[in-house]
Amino acid sequence: MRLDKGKRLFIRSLVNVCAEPIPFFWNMRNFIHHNPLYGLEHLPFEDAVRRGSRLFHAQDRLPREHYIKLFREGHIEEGSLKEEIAEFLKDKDLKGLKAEELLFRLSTEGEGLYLSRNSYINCRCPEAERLAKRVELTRNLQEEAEGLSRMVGKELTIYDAIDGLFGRGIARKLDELLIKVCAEFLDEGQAVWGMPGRDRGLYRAWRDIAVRNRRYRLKGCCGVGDVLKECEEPEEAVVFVLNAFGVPEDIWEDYITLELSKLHGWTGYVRWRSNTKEYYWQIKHPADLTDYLAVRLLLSMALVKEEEKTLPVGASLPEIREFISDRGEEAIIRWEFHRGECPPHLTDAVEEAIEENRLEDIRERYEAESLRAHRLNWASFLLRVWDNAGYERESLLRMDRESLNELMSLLREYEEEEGFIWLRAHEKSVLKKLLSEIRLKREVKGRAFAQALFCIDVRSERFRRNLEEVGDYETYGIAGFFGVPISFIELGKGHETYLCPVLIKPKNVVLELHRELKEEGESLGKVIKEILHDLKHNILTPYITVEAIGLLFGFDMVGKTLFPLGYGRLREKLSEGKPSSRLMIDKPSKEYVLEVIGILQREIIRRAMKERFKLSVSEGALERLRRVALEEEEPDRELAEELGVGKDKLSELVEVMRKDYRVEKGYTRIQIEKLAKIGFTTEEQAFFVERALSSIGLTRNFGKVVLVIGHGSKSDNNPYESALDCGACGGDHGAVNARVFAKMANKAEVRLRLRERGIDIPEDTVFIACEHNTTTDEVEFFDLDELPATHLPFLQKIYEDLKLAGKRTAMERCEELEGTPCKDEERTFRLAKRNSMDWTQVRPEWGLSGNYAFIIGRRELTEGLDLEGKVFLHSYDWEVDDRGMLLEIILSGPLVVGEWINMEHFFSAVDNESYGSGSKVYHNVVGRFGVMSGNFSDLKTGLPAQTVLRGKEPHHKPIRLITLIEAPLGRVKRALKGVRKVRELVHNGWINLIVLDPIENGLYRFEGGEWKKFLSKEVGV
Amino acid sequence: MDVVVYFLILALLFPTFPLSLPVSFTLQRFGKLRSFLIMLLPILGFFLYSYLGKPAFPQWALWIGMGSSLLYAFRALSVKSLKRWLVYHYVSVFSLMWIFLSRAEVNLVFVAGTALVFLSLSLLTGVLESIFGTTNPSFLRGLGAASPVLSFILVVSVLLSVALPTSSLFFSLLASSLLLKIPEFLLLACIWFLWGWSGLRLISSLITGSPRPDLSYEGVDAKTFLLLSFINLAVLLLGFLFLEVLL
Repeated sequence: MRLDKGKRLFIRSLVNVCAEPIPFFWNMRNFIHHNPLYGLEHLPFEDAVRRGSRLFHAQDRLPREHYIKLFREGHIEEGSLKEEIAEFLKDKDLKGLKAEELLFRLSTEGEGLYLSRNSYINCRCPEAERLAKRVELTRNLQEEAEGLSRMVGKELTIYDAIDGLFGRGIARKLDELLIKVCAEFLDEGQAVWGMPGRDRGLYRAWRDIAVRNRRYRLKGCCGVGDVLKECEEPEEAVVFVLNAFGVPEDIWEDYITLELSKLHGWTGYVRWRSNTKEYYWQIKHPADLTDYLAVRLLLSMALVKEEEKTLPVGASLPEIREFISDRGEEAIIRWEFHRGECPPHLTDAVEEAIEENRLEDIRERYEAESLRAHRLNWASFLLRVWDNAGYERESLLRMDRESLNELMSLLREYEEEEGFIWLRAHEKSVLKKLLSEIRLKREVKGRAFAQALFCIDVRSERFRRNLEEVGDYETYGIAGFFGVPISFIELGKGHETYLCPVLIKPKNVVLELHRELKEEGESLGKVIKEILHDLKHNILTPYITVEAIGLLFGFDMVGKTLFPLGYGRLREKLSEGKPSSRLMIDKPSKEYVLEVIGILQREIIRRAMKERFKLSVSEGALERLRRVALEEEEPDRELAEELGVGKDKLSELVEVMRKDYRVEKGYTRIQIEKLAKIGFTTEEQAFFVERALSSIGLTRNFGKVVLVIGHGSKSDNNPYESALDCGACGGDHGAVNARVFAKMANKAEVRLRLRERGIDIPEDTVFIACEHNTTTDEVEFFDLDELPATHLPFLQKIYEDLKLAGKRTAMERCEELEGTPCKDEERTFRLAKRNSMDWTQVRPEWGLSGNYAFIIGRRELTEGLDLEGKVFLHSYDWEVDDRGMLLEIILSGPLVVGEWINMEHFFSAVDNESYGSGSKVYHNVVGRFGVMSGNFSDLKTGLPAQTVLRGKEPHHKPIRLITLIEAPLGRVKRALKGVRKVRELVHNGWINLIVLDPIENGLYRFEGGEWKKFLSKEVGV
Repeated sequence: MDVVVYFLILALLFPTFPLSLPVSFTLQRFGKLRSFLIMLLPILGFFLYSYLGKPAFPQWALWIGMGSSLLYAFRALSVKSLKRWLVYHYVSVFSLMWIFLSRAEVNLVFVAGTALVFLSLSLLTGVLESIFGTTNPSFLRGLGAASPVLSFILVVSVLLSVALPTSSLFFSLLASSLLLKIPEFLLLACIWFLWGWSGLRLISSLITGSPRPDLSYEGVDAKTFLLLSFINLAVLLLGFLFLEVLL
C-alpha cells in the first residue's frame, strides 16, 4: 500500500488534531505540573470534567464520604451547601416534597447511599418488594443494542467491542505489547542493551524487529510480518488498519482519539517529545504520534485477527455493528455479563448459556429478572434515602406514581450533579473565609533593613511570614525564575536546560564556568564510580561483582536505612561536592566569539596533526591551515612546504579537517550563531530587571540588601523530586535564576539605565542570590565572594534570621507532616533534614498540596495572616502599572502555571489512579523518564498518592484556584481582553476570579458570564 | 448388592467421570446443601468401602480416577466462578482417592481430613454469594482492597485446597505419590500443577485490581471468621497427623 504525500500529510495532521485532548507528559527529571484536562480547557469546566472522565475512565468527583468529612470538620459551611442545593432545585416543581431537606440530608448523612450500588442484594424487607412493584422502569434490550452498536467506533474500539461481547482480553494484551515497545524505544539510558535502529524513528525501528519477532506469534498476534511488508511508512499503516477494520472515514477522528487515549501517559510522552524538537533524546531517537499510532493499530489488528478465528462474527466494524443490531438481545446479555453488569444471581446461568450457545433460552428470563433487580434496587435505594431523611416509610409507600417518578428523576439528576454542588459549596466556604481575613488598608513604609524576593510558590508563604516576624524584612512574591528565562549549560554538562516556565522558550544561554583553573584529569573517586558503573552494567560481571564487593553496598544500605541523617552527612562530607563556579551572563562581542572559535579550531587542528598525521606544526602554519579549511585562503606551496608535505597531501589534509573535524565554513557559522546566544546585552539585562521589579511594585525604598531567593527541594530515592522543585524554573532548582538576576541587578550599567527609567537603586544596595530548600527549610547563599566587604556585617544578621525563620517554618510544616504538634525546634529541624536524606521516606514534604488561592496584590493584604502555606502570593502594585501591561504578564505566565499546579492537584486528589500516579510503593522507574506501577502499566502522569492523600483521605482539598487581584476592575477587564488563555479559563470556570477594586473599595466576582459585586454579608466583611 | 455399592462409590462418593456428572450438578445447584454434602459424601463413601471389607480395587480403577482428576483439573482452569471451581476441584481431588483404593487403604481421618479442606471453601462461597449474589470475577473484583479479612481467609482456604505444604491434602498427595510408578507420578504432578494454576488464577482475579465503585463491599462477621479460621487450622493440624501416619 502506497500513499501520496498529500494523503500522508493529511494523516499526520489528523493524528495531531486527534491527540489534542491528551495532555503532554514531561519527563520526570523535570516534572511539570499541568492540568490533566489541558486539552479540554476550551470547554466549560463541568463539560470538560465529564468528557475527561469518559475519555480517561476516571472519576469526576470526590466520593460523597470525603465531602461529608470536610463538612463535619467545618471546611464546608452548611449555608453554602444549602444555597447550592436551592440553586439546583430552582426550576424544579416538586409537589409536596421537602426536596431541599431530603437532598441536604442525603448529601451530609448518606454515606454509601448511591443508586448505582447493589443495595438490593441483601434487601430482605417486604417494603422494598412492595415499592418495587410501583417503580416505573422499562427495558428494551433491542433498543439498548442499537445504542451499543452506535458506540462502536466512536466510544469503543473494535477490540473493546470484542472483549465486551465475547469476554476476550485483547485490550490488556495490546497494552502490554505496546508498553514493551515504547519502553524499549524511548529508553533514555536505563537499559544496558538498547533497541537497535532507534535513530530511524519509532515505527521503522519497531518494524525492522517486528517482521522477524516470533514472540508475537506466541503472544497471539497473527500476520504482523505480512502487514508490515505492505506498510513501509507509518501513515500507510494507519490507513491500512483503519480500512481493514472497516472504520468509515468520517469517524476516523473519533477512532484515533479513542486509541490514543487508551495509554494516555505514553501517548502524552510521545506527544511531548515530538513537540520538543530540541530535546536530546528526541533528536537521537525520533518518535511521533503517527509512529506510535501505527504500531498500536498494527498490533491491535494482529491480535484481533487471531481472535477472529474463534469468533462467531467477523472482526470489522460493520460486521460487529451488524451482529449487535441483528442479535441485539444476545449482544446486550453478553455485554452486561462480561462487564459485570448482569444481575449477580444470573451470572452462573448466563455463563452456562454462553458456553452452551443457548442465550436465546434465557433471554426472557434475563430481561424480566434484570428489570426486577433494577426496580428492587431503586426501591431499596428510595427507602434508604427516606430513612436517612428521617421520614416515615409509609409516606413513601403511599406516594402516587407520578410523584414517585418525579422523586426518582430528581435523585437521578442530583446524583449526577452532586459532585459539582459540593465543589461549589466548598469553594464558597473557602472564599468567604479568605475574604474575611484579608486586610484592605494601605501603609506607607520607610526603608526596610532588607528585602527578600521569594517565588510565588505556596511554600514560600510560611517562610515569608516567619522572616517578616523575626526582623525588619519586606518580602515580595515573584515567579521563581525572576522574570529571566534562561537556557543553562551546567558545569561539566554538554546540554542546555531551560530554566523558565514551559510556556516560554528562552533565547539566552547562560554558561557555568569554573571559578578557578582546573588541571585536566579525573579524580580517583570519579574513576572508581565509573568502574563500578561498568561492572554493574556489563552482562557477566555483576555475578562476580556481587560476590566480590557486594558487602560494601550492604554497609551503604544499612547506613541509609538505619542512620539516614548521620550517614547522609558523612556522605556529604566525603563527596567532592560541586566545584566553585561563576556564570557567564554578559553577551560576548563578535570579535570575542571569533577569537574563541579560532582558538578552539587551532587546538583541534594541532591535535589532529599530532595524533593522526604525526606532524608538528608551528602556530603560524596552524592558523593558515585553518583559514584554508574555512575557505578564507587558497592552499599554496609555501604552506605545503611549511607543513613538510606535498600539494596533494595538503589538499587531503584540508579535506580531512573539513569532513572529520568539522573545521569548515558552514559549521563555523553555526558555532557563531550558537555562541551569539550566550549571555544578555546590557539593555536586555536592564529590561529584565526593570520588568521584574516593576511587576512586584519594588521600584523605590530599596533596602541595603535585597535577597533573591529561589527554591528547590532535596530528597533521596524520589523519582518525583523535581515535582517539588520550582515550576517556574521548568521543574528545576531556582538558584541559577536567582544568581543571574542578582548579578544583573548588581551591575552599575544596568542600574544606570534603570535610573533613567525611574527605578533608582541606591549604590549601597546589594542583591544576594540564595536558595530555599523546601524540604529542610535551610537557605544557601551564592556568590558571596562578589559581595562588597561593607555588607558582610549585615550578612551575619541575615543568616541568623533566615535560620530562625527556617526553623519556625519547619515547625509548622512538620506539624502538618506528622499530624501532631511539634514542640522542639531543633528536633523538628533535624527531622526535616532527615526526611531529605531518608531513602525510605515516601513523603519528604507535602509540596504544593493544599494550594487553593492565588493572590495578586500588595503584601499588606495578607501580611501577618497565617495562610498555612497554601496560597500563591504574587506581589503587584496597580499604581505602578498604568497601562495594565504588568498585570497581563502576571496573568499570562504565573497565573497559568498556578492554574496548572492547582488542577494537577485537583484531579490527582479526585482520582489518584487515573489522573494521579497511585501509590509510590508500587512505582518503578522506566527508561529514566517516567514511572510505571508494577512491572508494566501506563506511564503515571500525575502526582503520587503520598502527595495528595493521607491514607485514603484527600489531604489536598480539591477546589478550583481562587484568584484574587487587587486592581481596578476596568484594568483587570482590559488585561483579560489581552490574554486569551486566561480569559478562556475564567469564562469556562477553571478558575474563580475575584477582583478587589481599590478605587471603589468593592469586591467583584466573575460568575455566570458576568461580573457580580459581592455584598458585604456574602464575604463576612 | 455389591455391584450397587461399587456403583455408588464410583458415581457419588469418590466420583469419577462420567458418573461424576450428577454430583457435580447437585453441588452446583443446591448451594445450601453444598457444605453438608461435601462432608457427607466422602464419609459415606468410606463407610460403604469399609462395609465391603476394604477391598483392593483393580488397576483400571486407578486410571479412571486419575483420568477423571486430570479432566476436572483441566476443566477448572477455564471456569469463571469460585462456586464452579470448587465443585470441579472437589471432584478432581476425590477422584484421586482411587489411588489409595487400588494400591492401599484409606481410613476415616484421611477421608474426613481431605473433605474438610473443602468445607471452609464451601462456606466462604456461601458467604460471598450472600453478600454479592455471585462468585464470578467478572462481577466481583478488587476484593483485597475492599474486604481484606474476607480476602485473607479466602486466599488461605484456596491455598490449602490446592495442597499447599502442611495442609492435609498436601500430605495425602505426598502419600499417594509414594504408591505410584513414574508415569503415574508425572500425571499426578500435572494434576497438582493444574490445581495450583487454576486456583491462583481465580483468586487473583477476585482479589486484585481496584474495587468496583458501583458495588457495596462487605466483610465477614467475627463469628464466621473464627469458624473458618478454626476449620483452616484444623486442616493444617490434620496435615501433621497425616505426616505422623506417613512416617
